[in-house]
Amino acid sequence: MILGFAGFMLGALGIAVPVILHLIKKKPKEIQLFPSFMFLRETVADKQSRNNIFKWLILLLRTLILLMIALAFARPFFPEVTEKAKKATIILWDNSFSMDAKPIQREMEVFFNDEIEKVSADNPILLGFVNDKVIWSNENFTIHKSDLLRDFKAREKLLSISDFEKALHAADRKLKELHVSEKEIIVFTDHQRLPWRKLKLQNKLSPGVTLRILKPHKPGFKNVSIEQTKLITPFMESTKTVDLKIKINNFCRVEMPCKVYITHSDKSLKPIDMNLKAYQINELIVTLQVDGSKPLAGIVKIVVKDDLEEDNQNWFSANPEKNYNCLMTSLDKNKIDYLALALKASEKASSLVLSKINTDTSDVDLLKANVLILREGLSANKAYLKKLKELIEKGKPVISILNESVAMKKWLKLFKIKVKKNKIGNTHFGNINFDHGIFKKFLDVKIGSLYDIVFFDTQSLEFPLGSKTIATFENGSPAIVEMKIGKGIHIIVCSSIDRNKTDWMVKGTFLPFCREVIAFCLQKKVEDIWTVGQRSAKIKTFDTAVELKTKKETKVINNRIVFSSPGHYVIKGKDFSNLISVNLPREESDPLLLKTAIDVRKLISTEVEVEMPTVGSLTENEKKDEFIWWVILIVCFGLMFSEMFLSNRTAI
Amino acid sequence: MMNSSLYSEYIDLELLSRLPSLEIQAKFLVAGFLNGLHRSPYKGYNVEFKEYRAYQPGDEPKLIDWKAYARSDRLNVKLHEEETNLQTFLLVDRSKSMDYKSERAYFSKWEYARALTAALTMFLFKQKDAVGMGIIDGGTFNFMKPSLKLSHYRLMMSALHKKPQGGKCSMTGGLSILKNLVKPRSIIILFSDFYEDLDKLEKALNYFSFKHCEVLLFHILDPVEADFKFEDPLLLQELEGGEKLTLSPDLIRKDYLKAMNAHKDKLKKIVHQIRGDFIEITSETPPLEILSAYLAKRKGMM
Repeated sequence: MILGFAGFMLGALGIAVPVILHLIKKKPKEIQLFPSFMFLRETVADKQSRNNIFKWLILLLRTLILLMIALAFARPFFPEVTEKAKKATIILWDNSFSMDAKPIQREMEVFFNDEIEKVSADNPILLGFVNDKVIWSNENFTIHKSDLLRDFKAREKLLSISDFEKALHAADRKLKELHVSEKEIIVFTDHQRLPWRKLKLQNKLSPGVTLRILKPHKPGFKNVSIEQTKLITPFMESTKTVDLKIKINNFCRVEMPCKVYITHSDKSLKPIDMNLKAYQINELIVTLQVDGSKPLAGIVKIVVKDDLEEDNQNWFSANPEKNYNCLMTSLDKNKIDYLALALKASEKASSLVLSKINTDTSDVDLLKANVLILREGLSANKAYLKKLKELIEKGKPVISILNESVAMKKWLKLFKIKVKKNKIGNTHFGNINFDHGIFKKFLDVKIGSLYDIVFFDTQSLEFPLGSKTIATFENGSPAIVEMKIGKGIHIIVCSSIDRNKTDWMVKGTFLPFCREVIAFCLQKKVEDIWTVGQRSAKIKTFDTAVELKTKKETKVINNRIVFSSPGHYVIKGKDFSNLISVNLPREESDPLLLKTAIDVRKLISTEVEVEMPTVGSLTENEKKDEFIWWVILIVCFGLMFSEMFLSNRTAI
Repeated sequence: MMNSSLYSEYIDLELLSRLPSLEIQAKFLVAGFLNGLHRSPYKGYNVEFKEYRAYQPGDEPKLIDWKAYARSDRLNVKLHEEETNLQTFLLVDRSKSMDYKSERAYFSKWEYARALTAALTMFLFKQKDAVGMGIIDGGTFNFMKPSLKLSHYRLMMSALHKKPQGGKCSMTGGLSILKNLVKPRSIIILFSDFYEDLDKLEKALNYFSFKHCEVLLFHILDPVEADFKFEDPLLLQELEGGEKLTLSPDLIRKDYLKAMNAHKDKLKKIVHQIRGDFIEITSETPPLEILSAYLAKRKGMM
């Protein structure tokens, strides 16, 4: 039997409690006189000895109950190991992209099949696919080779590097749990990564575990790949040049000459010659001439004589960002500031675009800011709040985002806005005023429905007369409200922009909303159509939408696009070609930052069916594990009843 | 006529237990049941004529009815009925075990026994029956022969004042001494918890059965002794010996009651064999009820 979570067995230390109680059990100190001892002597003598046995039995039962509970939490299971098993094998398959290089792929698969054949029918075996973490084909060891071969064929290929150090540790831990005389780890790898030579892997394994590394026979397998293409300077509307950083990894033992081709905005740059140093990541920084009014999208290709072409190109793209100069209160450091992510142009540009506001912020800065955003982190200082109110009255636009703090209540109270005690609970938008400047643009291009946004545990606010409701929740309670205060406007968003309070920030409509609301506050003429790129172009009808990277075409029905995944889409009409970025927060929308292992589809639209793990009938192993659980549970209950039965008969 | 049980309602047991003098206690109790409710089953010591028979050599000359001889010229001897003068002996156990009083009882067993003894003594004195008393105090025995003198009554009362000092119950020992003191056809009343060897007691009681004595056993127990209703684990110390036992009442109760009932049954059987009476008392029962029951029984016998 193997423990899934052996750490829980520490809970067994709890047996010390009944033992101590048993040892220090209080005996009656007060003596009571009694005359009829002649009827007690024999009975007590007889019972007492039996009672002592019961006491020890109860102690034993109590300790067993605690042990059983600890055992149940430790999730024991029986590996598929027969008594005849002498050797346990773990196969670690390097699941990196380079293993699919045609020269070696076939050879390695043959190796794999041969090794599986060699394993005796009774010996347990486990297969792990190694990327940045190990994905085990099966939770437990198995003796069914056919299962392994099936899992091997169905393996998912991921574009990530393989961390064998972690994988070997994990495999070593798995082997520790088995009681067999021989333990072996077989690693299938193309031996491409540099650290292989430096890692003394055998030393990191437990005694008795042997390590065998199988690599392709073909010498001189070459691979060069583009690891990363990233803009490293802020891409603003006013920007004329941006720097693109390209990281190229040479996995070969020799220096490799290559040519770097960069194409962007329908312009091809002159190819750049590079000599890639052996076993190193080579960096190249290229300055691109850009037009800040258009989106930037391009491709980097390298031409090099290697055996794997698939990783020799990479995409880059970016939207020009606007410097709104917002002042906003700061969030808790542990929280993701989705609003900042949505508004700021880039990490480096953040200080120019967004500043934190607090009681120390000077009046000059406050006046300089285009918009003030008040949310969590607002000071409850009355004088400070009054000063902010005065700023609105003088014409400074302010956006207040509701939170449950006392400061926010005080702030809203200054505008005679009451926070009701009753909460609405989970809700969506009920009515949206699409005639209002903030939501007007959302009628044109649909990038996810505003009605899909869920607000969790929202509070209800009561506004004074004269407030303009822009959107309501399902129950009619105001959701977004505009108030004219003196010369300025005050927009109140009646829900916190926090992942605990809404899923808006992972919807496609979040980024447009953030920009629109600020644009509205600034009372500036914003783009008629919510796209990035040519602002003058007014898209009325369009025919095709093609995803930039995959070239996959998305259907356009009645001038409406339903996107199935995030990304950058080229929308083409009769006389125009435009790029739409299905904008999630930057982390999710920038293809350069997208992690392939994350299923981002679920983050964008509820119209996309998310692949869920299969639920339903249990596998044989799972049934066995469940059976063990039930056995432990029944034994535990049995012990508890026995304990109760006995303790009722044993007091002293 | 006032019913005794009704009367008992007027008797405050706590008040009774606090009365300083046994004599007052006794008067208090006797007053409760003497109001015409009972009549003594014995007629006192009047000598009544039965018949004549012819004189035979050896007969005492003083028994010859000389007046009849003068009339009939025949020597006849006057025969009288045997004296029915009741001689009662009260044997009270003053062993240490009798000193037990639980929270549920008004009296200790000893206090209960002596209240009954005092009341019966007073009652019998009022009937002009001779009363003797034996106090068995562990190994020591203090006997007072039956008498009708008032000073004797006072002496008996003062003897009852003393509290149990120690020692184990030995009614058997007391009965063996009583053999020499008691006359045939006497009443012997025993007050005890009878925590002793019943086989020996049986032998001792058989003797009195042969002497046509009537034996009455008042088996006095504390209510806790009778049902063993303790709750929490206990550390018990024996009253008579000092032995200690730690036990769980729930665990022991069933066996204890079994042993106690077996002991009681055996005692009842012994008393039944000698045609005596067995009166089982727990010290939470009002003494007046016990006395009423006893006297009603006596009346029924007649």
